[in-house]
Amino acid sequence: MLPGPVYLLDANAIIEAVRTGTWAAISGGLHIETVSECAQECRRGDEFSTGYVVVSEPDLGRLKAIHTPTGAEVAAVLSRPKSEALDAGERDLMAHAIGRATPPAWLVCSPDKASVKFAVGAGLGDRLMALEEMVVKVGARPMPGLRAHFSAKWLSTQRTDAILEAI
Amino acid sequence: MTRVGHRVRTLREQRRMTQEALAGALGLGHRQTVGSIEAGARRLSPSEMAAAAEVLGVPVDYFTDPFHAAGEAAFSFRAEKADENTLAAFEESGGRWLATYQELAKPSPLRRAIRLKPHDSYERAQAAGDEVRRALRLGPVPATELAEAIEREWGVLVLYVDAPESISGAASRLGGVDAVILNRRESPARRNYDLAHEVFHLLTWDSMPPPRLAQDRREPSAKRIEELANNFAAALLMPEDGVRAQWPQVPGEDLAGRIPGIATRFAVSAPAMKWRLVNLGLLSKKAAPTDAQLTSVAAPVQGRDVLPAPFNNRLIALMHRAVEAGELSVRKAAAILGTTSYGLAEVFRAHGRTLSYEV
Repeated sequence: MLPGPVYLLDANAIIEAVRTGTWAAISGGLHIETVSECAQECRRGDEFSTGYVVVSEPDLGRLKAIHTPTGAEVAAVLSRPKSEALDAGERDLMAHAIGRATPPAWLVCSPDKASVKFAVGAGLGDRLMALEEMVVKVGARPMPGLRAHFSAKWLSTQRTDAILEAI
Repeated sequence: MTRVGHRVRTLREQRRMTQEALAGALGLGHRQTVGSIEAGARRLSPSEMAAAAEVLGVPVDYFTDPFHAAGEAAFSFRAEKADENTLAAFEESGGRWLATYQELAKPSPLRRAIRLKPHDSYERAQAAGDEVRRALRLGPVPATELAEAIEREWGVLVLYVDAPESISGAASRLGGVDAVILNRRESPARRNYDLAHEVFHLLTWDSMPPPRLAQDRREPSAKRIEELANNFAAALLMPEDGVRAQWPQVPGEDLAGRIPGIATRFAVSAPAMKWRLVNLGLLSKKAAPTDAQLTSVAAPVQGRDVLPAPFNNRLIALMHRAVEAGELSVRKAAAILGTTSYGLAEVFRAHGRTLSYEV
Protein backbone atom coordinates (compact mmCIF):
# COMPACT_ATOMS: atom_id res chain seq x y z
CA MET A 1 0.00 0.00 0.00
CA LEU A 2 1.24 3.45 -0.90
CA PRO A 3 1.97 5.93 1.91
CA GLY A 4 -0.15 8.69 0.34
CA PRO A 5 -0.68 10.29 -3.01
CA VAL A 6 1.69 9.65 -5.90
CA TYR A 7 3.43 12.77 -7.17
CA LEU A 8 4.28 12.80 -10.88
CA LEU A 9 7.08 15.27 -11.53
CA ASP A 10 8.40 16.51 -14.85
CA ALA A 11 12.05 17.34 -15.58
CA ASN A 12 11.60 21.03 -14.71
CA ALA A 13 10.39 20.17 -11.22
CA ILE A 14 13.05 17.52 -10.55
CA ILE A 15 15.85 19.82 -11.71
CA GLU A 16 14.54 22.69 -9.57
CA ALA A 17 14.33 20.44 -6.52
CA VAL A 18 17.93 19.33 -7.07
CA ARG A 19 19.05 22.93 -7.68
CA THR A 20 17.50 24.16 -4.45
CA GLY A 21 18.77 21.24 -2.37
CA THR A 22 15.27 20.00 -1.57
CA TRP A 23 15.32 16.81 -3.66
CA ALA A 24 16.52 14.53 -0.87
CA ALA A 25 13.80 15.78 1.47
CA ILE A 26 10.87 15.59 -0.95
CA SER A 27 11.92 12.33 -2.59
CA GLY A 28 12.47 10.86 0.89
CA GLY A 29 9.19 12.09 2.32
CA LEU A 30 6.85 11.78 -0.65
CA HIS A 31 6.14 9.10 -3.22
CA ILE A 32 7.59 10.61 -6.38
CA GLU A 33 7.48 9.08 -9.84
CA THR A 34 8.21 10.30 -13.35
CA VAL A 35 8.37 9.05 -16.93
CA SER A 36 11.46 7.89 -18.81
CA GLU A 37 11.49 10.89 -21.18
CA CYS A 38 11.62 13.30 -18.20
CA ALA A 39 14.40 11.26 -16.61
CA GLN A 40 16.30 11.52 -19.90
CA GLU A 41 15.72 15.27 -20.01
CA CYS A 42 17.24 15.50 -16.52
CA ARG A 43 20.37 13.73 -17.79
CA ARG A 44 20.62 15.67 -21.05
CA GLY A 45 22.43 18.92 -21.70
CA ASP A 46 25.85 20.43 -21.54
CA GLU A 47 27.00 20.48 -17.96
CA PHE A 48 29.34 23.36 -18.74
CA SER A 49 26.57 25.59 -20.09
CA THR A 50 25.18 28.45 -18.04
CA GLY A 51 22.72 27.42 -15.39
CA TYR A 52 23.12 23.69 -15.98
CA VAL A 53 22.10 21.63 -12.97
CA VAL A 54 23.63 18.19 -12.64
CA VAL A 55 21.02 15.58 -11.79
CA SER A 56 22.98 12.46 -10.91
CA GLU A 57 21.98 8.84 -11.25
CA PRO A 58 21.71 8.51 -7.45
CA ASP A 59 19.33 11.51 -7.57
CA LEU A 60 17.18 9.74 -10.15
CA GLY A 61 17.51 6.53 -8.14
CA ARG A 62 15.42 8.17 -5.42
CA LEU A 63 12.36 8.10 -7.68
CA LYS A 64 9.89 5.40 -6.68
CA ALA A 65 9.13 4.57 -10.33
CA ILE A 66 9.97 5.66 -13.86
CA HIS A 67 7.20 4.85 -16.32
CA THR A 68 7.17 4.58 -20.08
CA PRO A 69 3.71 5.34 -21.44
CA THR A 70 2.45 3.16 -24.27
CA GLY A 71 2.16 4.53 -27.79
CA ALA A 72 -1.62 4.51 -27.43
CA GLU A 73 -1.41 6.51 -24.17
CA VAL A 74 0.80 9.09 -25.89
CA ALA A 75 -1.53 9.15 -28.90
CA ALA A 76 -4.47 9.77 -26.56
CA VAL A 77 -2.75 12.95 -25.38
CA LEU A 78 -1.86 13.94 -28.94
CA SER A 79 -5.52 13.64 -29.88
CA ARG A 80 -6.39 16.36 -27.38
CA PRO A 81 -6.29 20.10 -28.10
CA LYS A 82 -3.15 22.04 -27.07
CA SER A 83 -1.02 18.89 -26.80
CA GLU A 84 1.27 20.19 -29.57
CA ALA A 85 2.46 22.87 -27.13
CA LEU A 86 4.14 20.29 -24.90
CA ASP A 87 7.63 18.90 -25.18
CA ALA A 88 8.15 15.13 -25.18
CA GLY A 89 8.64 14.83 -21.41
CA GLU A 90 5.67 17.01 -20.49
CA ARG A 91 3.53 15.11 -22.99
CA ASP A 92 4.57 11.68 -21.72
CA LEU A 93 3.95 12.70 -18.11
CA MET A 94 0.39 13.72 -19.02
CA ALA A 95 0.01 10.51 -21.05
CA HIS A 96 1.00 8.44 -18.04
CA ALA A 97 -1.23 10.46 -15.72
CA ILE A 98 -4.26 10.12 -17.96
CA GLY A 99 -3.59 6.47 -18.74
CA ARG A 100 -2.90 5.54 -15.13
CA ALA A 101 -5.43 3.43 -13.31
CA THR A 102 -7.52 5.86 -11.25
CA PRO A 103 -6.73 5.01 -7.62
CA PRO A 104 -4.36 5.62 -5.96
CA ALA A 105 -4.48 9.39 -5.99
CA TRP A 106 -1.87 11.19 -8.03
CA LEU A 107 -0.80 14.79 -8.54
CA VAL A 108 1.17 16.38 -11.31
CA CYS A 109 3.91 18.95 -10.94
CA SER A 110 4.68 20.42 -14.38
CA PRO A 111 5.25 24.14 -13.99
CA ASP A 112 4.78 25.61 -17.43
CA LYS A 113 1.88 27.67 -18.77
CA ALA A 114 1.45 25.26 -21.68
CA SER A 115 1.30 22.30 -19.28
CA VAL A 116 -1.21 24.05 -17.03
CA LYS A 117 -3.33 24.99 -20.02
CA PHE A 118 -3.30 21.44 -21.35
CA ALA A 119 -4.05 19.94 -17.94
CA VAL A 120 -7.00 22.25 -17.36
CA GLY A 121 -8.34 21.47 -20.85
CA ALA A 122 -7.98 17.75 -20.16
CA GLY A 123 -9.88 18.05 -16.87
CA LEU A 124 -6.77 17.64 -14.72
CA GLY A 125 -6.61 21.19 -13.35
CA ASP A 126 -7.33 20.13 -9.78
CA ARG A 127 -4.60 17.50 -9.96
CA LEU A 128 -1.86 20.08 -10.44
CA MET A 129 0.47 20.81 -7.58
CA ALA A 130 3.28 23.33 -7.15
CA LEU A 131 6.74 22.21 -6.11
CA GLU A 132 6.53 24.78 -3.31
CA GLU A 133 3.61 22.90 -1.75
CA MET A 134 5.63 19.68 -1.76
CA VAL A 135 8.61 21.41 -0.21
CA VAL A 136 6.41 22.87 2.53
CA LYS A 137 4.79 19.48 3.12
CA VAL A 138 8.14 17.89 4.01
CA GLY A 139 9.44 20.96 5.85
CA ALA A 140 12.42 21.53 3.59
CA ARG A 141 14.09 24.90 3.10
CA PRO A 142 15.09 25.69 -0.48
CA MET A 143 18.58 27.18 -0.80
CA PRO A 144 18.60 29.17 -3.04
CA GLY A 145 14.91 29.96 -3.10
CA LEU A 146 12.51 28.39 -5.57
CA ARG A 147 11.94 30.33 -8.73
CA ALA A 148 8.59 32.02 -9.13
CA HIS A 149 6.92 29.52 -11.43
CA PHE A 150 7.40 26.73 -8.89
CA SER A 151 5.30 28.61 -6.32
CA ALA A 152 1.73 27.84 -5.32
CA LYS A 153 0.77 31.42 -6.18
CA TRP A 154 2.08 31.11 -9.74
CA LEU A 155 0.23 27.86 -10.26
CA SER A 156 -2.96 29.27 -8.83
CA THR A 157 -2.81 32.29 -11.14
CA GLN A 158 -2.09 30.22 -14.23
CA ARG A 159 -4.76 27.66 -13.39
CA THR A 160 -7.35 30.40 -12.95
CA ASP A 161 -6.28 32.08 -16.17
CA ALA A 162 -6.51 28.76 -17.99
CA ILE A 163 -9.98 28.06 -16.61
CA LEU A 164 -11.09 31.55 -17.63
CA GLU A 165 -9.31 31.05 -20.96
CA ALA A 166 -7.23 34.14 -20.26
CA ILE A 167 -4.15 32.27 -21.47
CA MET B 1 -7.20 17.01 -45.89
CA THR B 2 -6.06 17.07 -42.27
CA ARG B 3 -2.42 17.18 -41.13
CA VAL B 4 -2.71 13.61 -39.84
CA GLY B 5 -4.26 12.36 -43.07
CA HIS B 6 -1.70 14.12 -45.23
CA ARG B 7 1.23 12.77 -43.22
CA VAL B 8 -0.14 9.22 -43.19
CA ARG B 9 -0.53 9.30 -46.95
CA THR B 10 2.89 10.84 -47.58
CA LEU B 11 4.63 8.29 -45.37
CA ARG B 12 2.69 5.38 -46.79
CA GLU B 13 3.68 6.42 -50.31
CA GLN B 14 7.31 6.91 -49.27
CA ARG B 15 7.28 3.40 -47.83
CA ARG B 16 5.71 2.14 -51.09
CA MET B 17 2.77 0.62 -49.25
CA THR B 18 -0.66 0.30 -50.77
CA GLN B 19 -3.71 1.45 -48.84
CA GLU B 20 -4.70 -2.18 -48.66
CA ALA B 21 -1.37 -3.19 -47.12
CA LEU B 22 -1.59 -0.44 -44.50
CA ALA B 23 -5.20 -1.32 -43.73
CA GLY B 24 -4.11 -4.93 -43.21
CA ALA B 25 -1.18 -3.97 -40.98
CA LEU B 26 -3.45 -1.78 -38.84
CA GLY B 27 -6.27 -4.30 -38.74
CA LEU B 28 -8.63 -1.82 -40.38
CA GLY B 29 -10.30 -4.38 -42.62
CA HIS B 30 -10.60 -2.41 -45.84
CA ARG B 31 -8.40 -0.09 -47.84
CA GLN B 32 -11.24 2.46 -48.01
CA THR B 33 -10.80 3.06 -44.29
CA VAL B 34 -7.21 4.15 -44.94
CA GLY B 35 -8.51 6.29 -47.82
CA SER B 36 -10.96 7.98 -45.44
CA ILE B 37 -8.21 8.61 -42.88
CA GLU B 38 -5.93 10.08 -45.53
CA ALA B 39 -8.74 12.26 -46.85
CA GLY B 40 -9.45 13.51 -43.33
CA ALA B 41 -12.96 12.04 -43.33
CA ARG B 42 -12.18 9.63 -40.50
CA ARG B 43 -10.00 10.21 -37.43
CA LEU B 44 -7.34 7.80 -36.27
CA SER B 45 -8.10 6.45 -32.82
CA PRO B 46 -5.18 6.67 -30.33
CA SER B 47 -4.45 2.95 -30.64
CA GLU B 48 -4.60 3.16 -34.45
CA MET B 49 -2.27 6.15 -34.41
CA ALA B 50 0.20 4.26 -32.23
CA ALA B 51 0.00 1.25 -34.53
CA ALA B 52 0.43 3.42 -37.64
CA ALA B 53 3.54 5.00 -36.11
CA GLU B 54 5.00 1.58 -35.46
CA VAL B 55 4.17 0.21 -38.91
CA LEU B 56 5.50 3.29 -40.70
CA GLY B 57 8.56 3.58 -38.44
CA VAL B 58 8.10 7.08 -36.99
CA PRO B 59 7.50 8.53 -33.52
CA VAL B 60 3.82 8.74 -32.67
CA ASP B 61 3.78 12.58 -32.69
CA TYR B 62 5.04 12.59 -36.28
CA PHE B 63 1.43 12.72 -37.48
CA THR B 64 0.28 15.57 -35.28
CA ASP B 65 3.15 17.92 -34.46
CA PRO B 66 2.70 21.20 -36.37
CA PHE B 67 6.17 22.30 -35.25
CA HIS B 68 7.79 19.52 -37.24
CA ALA B 69 8.19 19.68 -41.02
CA ALA B 70 7.69 15.91 -41.35
CA GLY B 71 10.10 15.77 -44.28
CA GLU B 72 8.13 18.30 -46.31
CA ALA B 73 10.64 21.15 -46.29
CA ALA B 74 12.84 21.38 -49.38
CA PHE B 75 16.38 22.76 -49.18
CA SER B 76 19.03 24.00 -51.57
CA PHE B 77 22.37 24.34 -49.79
CA ARG B 78 25.49 26.35 -50.36
CA ALA B 79 27.71 23.91 -48.54
CA GLU B 80 31.30 22.94 -49.13
CA LYS B 81 32.33 19.45 -48.11
CA ALA B 82 29.28 18.88 -45.94
CA ASP B 83 28.60 15.20 -45.44
CA GLU B 84 25.16 13.67 -45.70
CA ASN B 85 24.70 13.37 -41.94
CA THR B 86 25.44 17.08 -41.48
CA LEU B 87 22.98 18.05 -44.21
CA ALA B 88 20.27 15.72 -42.90
CA ALA B 89 20.67 17.02 -39.34
CA PHE B 90 20.49 20.58 -40.60
CA GLU B 91 17.37 19.81 -42.63
CA GLU B 92 15.74 18.39 -39.51
CA SER B 93 16.47 21.57 -37.52
CA GLY B 94 15.70 23.92 -40.39
CA GLY B 95 12.44 22.12 -41.04
CA ARG B 96 11.42 22.79 -37.43
CA TRP B 97 12.15 26.52 -37.75
CA LEU B 98 10.11 26.80 -40.93
CA ALA B 99 7.27 24.67 -39.57
CA THR B 100 7.16 26.82 -36.43
CA TYR B 101 6.99 29.98 -38.51
CA GLN B 102 4.28 28.45 -40.68
CA GLU B 103 2.24 27.43 -37.63
CA LEU B 104 2.59 30.69 -35.74
CA ALA B 105 2.64 33.26 -38.56
CA LYS B 106 0.15 31.64 -40.94
CA PRO B 107 1.88 33.31 -43.90
CA SER B 108 0.05 34.21 -47.07
CA PRO B 109 0.28 31.52 -49.74
CA LEU B 110 0.93 34.20 -52.39
CA ARG B 111 4.44 34.06 -53.82
CA ARG B 112 6.61 36.22 -56.05
CA ALA B 113 8.31 34.60 -59.03
CA ILE B 114 10.47 35.65 -61.94
CA ARG B 115 10.02 34.05 -65.30
CA LEU B 116 13.38 32.58 -66.16
CA LYS B 117 14.38 29.21 -67.54
CA PRO B 118 17.75 27.45 -67.35
CA HIS B 119 18.44 28.22 -71.02
CA ASP B 120 17.92 31.96 -70.55
CA SER B 121 20.97 34.20 -70.92
CA TYR B 122 23.08 35.62 -68.11
CA GLU B 123 21.98 39.07 -69.29
CA ARG B 124 18.37 38.14 -68.59
CA ALA B 125 19.33 36.98 -65.12
CA GLN B 126 21.14 40.29 -64.56
CA ALA B 127 18.12 42.21 -65.83
CA ALA B 128 15.98 40.30 -63.33
CA GLY B 129 18.39 41.29 -60.55
CA ASP B 130 18.06 44.95 -61.60
CA GLU B 131 14.28 44.64 -61.74
CA VAL B 132 14.08 43.10 -58.26
CA ARG B 133 16.28 45.87 -56.83
CA ARG B 134 13.99 48.49 -58.33
CA ALA B 135 10.83 46.68 -57.22
CA LEU B 136 12.11 46.55 -53.66
CA ARG B 137 13.22 50.21 -53.88
CA LEU B 138 16.66 49.39 -52.55
CA GLY B 139 19.11 52.27 -52.06
CA PRO B 140 22.65 52.73 -53.37
CA VAL B 141 24.00 49.91 -51.17
CA PRO B 142 21.37 47.20 -51.81
CA ALA B 143 23.10 44.58 -49.66
CA THR B 144 22.36 46.51 -46.49
CA GLU B 145 18.61 46.64 -47.16
CA LEU B 146 17.85 43.40 -48.96
CA ALA B 147 17.01 41.18 -45.98
CA GLU B 148 14.63 43.65 -44.42
CA ALA B 149 13.00 44.44 -47.77
CA ILE B 150 12.23 40.84 -48.75
CA GLU B 151 10.80 40.19 -45.30
CA ARG B 152 8.66 43.30 -45.36
CA GLU B 153 7.53 43.18 -48.99
CA TRP B 154 7.37 39.45 -49.70
CA GLY B 155 7.21 37.80 -46.29
CA VAL B 156 10.43 35.85 -46.88
CA LEU B 157 11.90 34.56 -43.63
CA VAL B 158 15.63 35.35 -43.30
CA LEU B 159 17.21 33.28 -40.53
CA TYR B 160 20.69 33.83 -39.10
CA VAL B 161 21.85 30.66 -37.44
CA ASP B 162 24.92 28.97 -36.01
CA ALA B 163 25.30 26.42 -38.78
CA PRO B 164 28.11 23.90 -39.16
CA GLU B 165 31.17 25.52 -40.75
CA SER B 166 30.61 23.54 -43.94
CA ILE B 167 27.19 25.14 -44.55
CA SER B 168 27.18 28.81 -45.51
CA GLY B 169 23.53 29.12 -46.42
CA ALA B 170 20.40 27.58 -47.87
CA ALA B 171 17.18 28.47 -49.60
CA SER B 172 14.27 26.57 -48.20
CA ARG B 173 10.59 26.15 -48.77
CA LEU B 174 7.82 24.60 -46.72
CA GLY B 175 4.17 25.06 -47.65
CA GLY B 176 3.61 28.80 -47.67
CA VAL B 177 6.99 29.65 -46.15
CA ASP B 178 9.94 30.80 -48.25
CA ALA B 179 13.14 31.16 -46.26
CA VAL B 180 16.80 31.95 -46.60
CA ILE B 181 18.94 30.46 -43.87
CA LEU B 182 22.36 32.06 -43.42
CA ASN B 183 25.32 30.98 -41.32
CA ARG B 184 25.65 34.04 -39.10
CA ARG B 185 29.35 33.29 -38.47
CA GLU B 186 30.20 34.00 -42.12
CA SER B 187 31.56 37.43 -43.05
CA PRO B 188 28.91 40.06 -43.85
CA ALA B 189 30.11 40.14 -47.48
CA ARG B 190 29.61 36.40 -47.83
CA ARG B 191 26.24 36.53 -46.11
CA ASN B 192 25.08 39.37 -48.35
CA TYR B 193 26.02 37.53 -51.49
CA ASP B 194 24.52 34.26 -50.28
CA LEU B 195 21.27 36.06 -49.49
CA ALA B 196 20.99 37.57 -52.98
CA HIS B 197 21.91 34.23 -54.53
CA GLU B 198 19.28 32.35 -52.50
CA VAL B 199 16.65 34.97 -53.35
CA PHE B 200 17.14 33.94 -56.98
CA HIS B 201 16.39 30.31 -56.06
CA LEU B 202 13.26 31.29 -54.18
CA LEU B 203 12.02 33.38 -57.11
CA THR B 204 12.68 30.64 -59.67
CA TRP B 205 11.93 27.60 -57.51
CA ASP B 206 9.05 26.37 -59.67
CA SER B 207 10.56 27.07 -63.08
CA MET B 208 14.02 25.71 -62.23
CA PRO B 209 14.01 23.83 -58.94
CA PRO B 210 17.44 24.29 -57.38
CA PRO B 211 19.55 21.21 -56.65
CA ARG B 212 19.78 20.15 -53.01
CA LEU B 213 23.49 20.92 -53.18
CA ALA B 214 24.54 23.93 -55.24
CA GLN B 215 27.77 22.25 -56.34
CA ASP B 216 26.07 18.96 -57.24
CA ARG B 217 27.72 18.01 -60.51
CA ARG B 218 25.46 15.00 -61.02
CA GLU B 219 22.65 17.40 -61.89
CA PRO B 220 23.32 18.52 -65.48
CA SER B 221 21.43 21.79 -65.03
CA ALA B 222 22.83 22.58 -61.57
CA LYS B 223 25.88 24.46 -62.82
CA ARG B 224 23.80 26.55 -65.21
CA ILE B 225 21.26 27.44 -62.52
CA GLU B 226 24.06 28.43 -60.14
CA GLU B 227 25.64 30.68 -62.77
CA LEU B 228 22.31 32.37 -63.44
CA ALA B 229 21.89 32.87 -59.69
CA ASN B 230 25.34 34.44 -59.45
CA ASN B 231 24.59 36.82 -62.32
CA PHE B 232 21.30 37.77 -60.71
CA ALA B 233 22.99 38.35 -57.33
CA ALA B 234 25.78 40.44 -58.86
CA ALA B 235 23.34 42.76 -60.65
CA LEU B 236 21.10 43.01 -57.60
CA LEU B 237 23.89 43.93 -55.19
CA MET B 238 26.19 45.91 -57.47
CA PRO B 239 24.06 48.20 -59.67
CA GLU B 240 25.80 49.00 -62.92
CA ASP B 241 25.36 52.78 -62.63
CA GLY B 242 26.72 52.85 -59.11
CA VAL B 243 29.70 50.67 -59.93
CA ARG B 244 30.58 52.71 -63.04
CA ALA B 245 30.36 55.92 -61.05
CA GLN B 246 32.78 54.59 -58.46
CA TRP B 247 35.26 53.09 -60.90
CA PRO B 248 36.96 55.91 -62.79
CA GLN B 249 39.66 54.39 -64.93
CA VAL B 250 43.14 55.54 -64.06
CA PRO B 251 45.86 53.90 -66.15
CA GLY B 252 48.51 52.04 -64.23
CA GLU B 253 46.75 52.16 -60.91
CA ASP B 254 46.99 49.47 -58.24
CA LEU B 255 43.89 47.40 -58.99
CA ALA B 256 44.47 44.89 -56.22
CA GLY B 257 44.43 47.78 -53.81
CA ARG B 258 41.37 49.54 -55.26
CA ILE B 259 38.93 46.69 -55.77
CA PRO B 260 38.52 45.91 -52.04
CA GLY B 261 37.70 49.58 -51.43
CA ILE B 262 34.83 49.65 -53.89
CA ALA B 263 33.70 46.20 -52.71
CA THR B 264 33.45 47.58 -49.19
CA ARG B 265 31.23 50.41 -50.39
CA PHE B 266 28.76 47.85 -51.78
CA ALA B 267 29.18 45.47 -48.80
CA VAL B 268 30.31 42.60 -51.01
CA SER B 269 33.56 40.64 -51.20
CA ALA B 270 36.49 41.82 -53.30
CA PRO B 271 36.36 38.77 -55.61
CA ALA B 272 32.62 39.35 -56.20
CA MET B 273 33.34 42.97 -57.14
CA LYS B 274 36.23 41.94 -59.39
CA TRP B 275 33.96 39.65 -61.43
CA ARG B 276 31.29 42.32 -61.63
CA LEU B 277 33.85 44.77 -63.00
CA VAL B 278 35.02 42.16 -65.50
CA ASN B 279 31.47 41.35 -66.61
CA LEU B 280 30.65 45.04 -67.02
CA GLY B 281 33.73 45.43 -69.23
CA LEU B 282 35.35 47.85 -66.80
CA LEU B 283 38.24 45.52 -66.08
CA SER B 284 39.92 43.05 -68.38
CA LYS B 285 40.15 39.49 -67.15
CA LYS B 286 43.84 39.60 -67.94
CA ALA B 287 44.50 42.69 -65.85
CA ALA B 288 42.36 41.52 -62.94
CA PRO B 289 44.19 40.49 -59.78
CA THR B 290 43.70 36.91 -58.61
CA ASP B 291 41.23 36.20 -55.83
CA ALA B 292 44.17 35.32 -53.57
CA GLN B 293 45.80 38.72 -54.22
CA LEU B 294 42.52 40.45 -53.44
CA THR B 295 41.95 38.50 -50.26
CA SER B 296 45.41 39.41 -49.00
CA VAL B 297 44.65 43.15 -49.24
CA ALA B 298 40.90 42.98 -48.61
CA ALA B 299 39.54 45.95 -46.74
CA PRO B 300 37.18 45.22 -43.89
CA VAL B 301 33.53 45.10 -44.84
CA GLN B 302 31.37 47.38 -42.78
CA GLY B 303 29.80 45.53 -39.88
CA ARG B 304 32.25 42.61 -39.96
CA ASP B 305 32.34 42.40 -36.20
CA VAL B 306 28.63 42.69 -35.69
CA LEU B 307 27.17 39.22 -35.34
CA PRO B 308 23.48 39.24 -36.30
CA ALA B 309 21.08 38.27 -33.52
CA PRO B 310 20.28 34.56 -33.83
CA PHE B 311 17.32 33.39 -35.91
CA ASN B 312 14.89 36.12 -36.91
CA ASN B 313 13.15 38.90 -35.06
CA ARG B 314 9.65 38.06 -36.28
CA LEU B 315 10.01 34.33 -35.65
CA ILE B 316 11.34 34.98 -32.15
CA ALA B 317 8.56 37.50 -31.44
CA LEU B 318 5.98 34.90 -32.45
CA MET B 319 7.62 32.20 -30.33
CA HIS B 320 7.89 34.54 -27.36
CA ARG B 321 4.21 35.35 -27.61
CA ALA B 322 3.35 31.65 -27.91
CA VAL B 323 5.38 30.78 -24.80
CA GLU B 324 3.81 33.57 -22.80
CA ALA B 325 0.35 32.56 -23.97
CA GLY B 326 0.89 28.90 -23.04
CA GLU B 327 0.74 27.87 -26.69
CA LEU B 328 4.29 26.53 -26.53
CA SER B 329 6.11 25.26 -23.47
CA VAL B 330 9.53 26.67 -22.60
CA ARG B 331 11.12 23.27 -23.14
CA LYS B 332 9.42 22.76 -26.48
CA ALA B 333 10.41 26.24 -27.68
CA ALA B 334 13.99 25.59 -26.58
CA ALA B 335 14.01 22.23 -28.38
CA ILE B 336 12.75 23.85 -31.60
CA LEU B 337 15.69 26.25 -31.53
CA GLY B 338 18.09 23.48 -30.50
CA THR B 339 18.98 25.05 -27.19
CA THR B 340 18.27 24.88 -23.45
CA SER B 341 15.81 26.94 -21.41
CA TYR B 342 18.71 29.27 -20.56
CA GLY B 343 19.67 29.47 -24.23
CA LEU B 344 16.07 30.28 -25.12
CA ALA B 345 16.03 33.17 -22.65
CA GLU B 346 19.27 34.45 -24.23
CA VAL B 347 17.80 34.29 -27.73
CA PHE B 348 14.73 36.19 -26.52
CA ARG B 349 16.98 38.77 -24.87
CA ALA B 350 18.97 39.21 -28.10
CA HIS B 351 15.68 40.30 -29.69
CA GLY B 352 14.73 42.59 -26.79
CA ARG B 353 12.24 40.21 -25.19
CA THR B 354 12.12 38.96 -21.65
CA LEU B 355 10.71 35.66 -20.54
CA SER B 356 8.35 35.84 -17.59
CA TYR B 357 9.83 32.57 -16.35
CA GLU B 358 13.03 32.78 -14.29
CA VAL B 359 15.46 30.39 -15.97
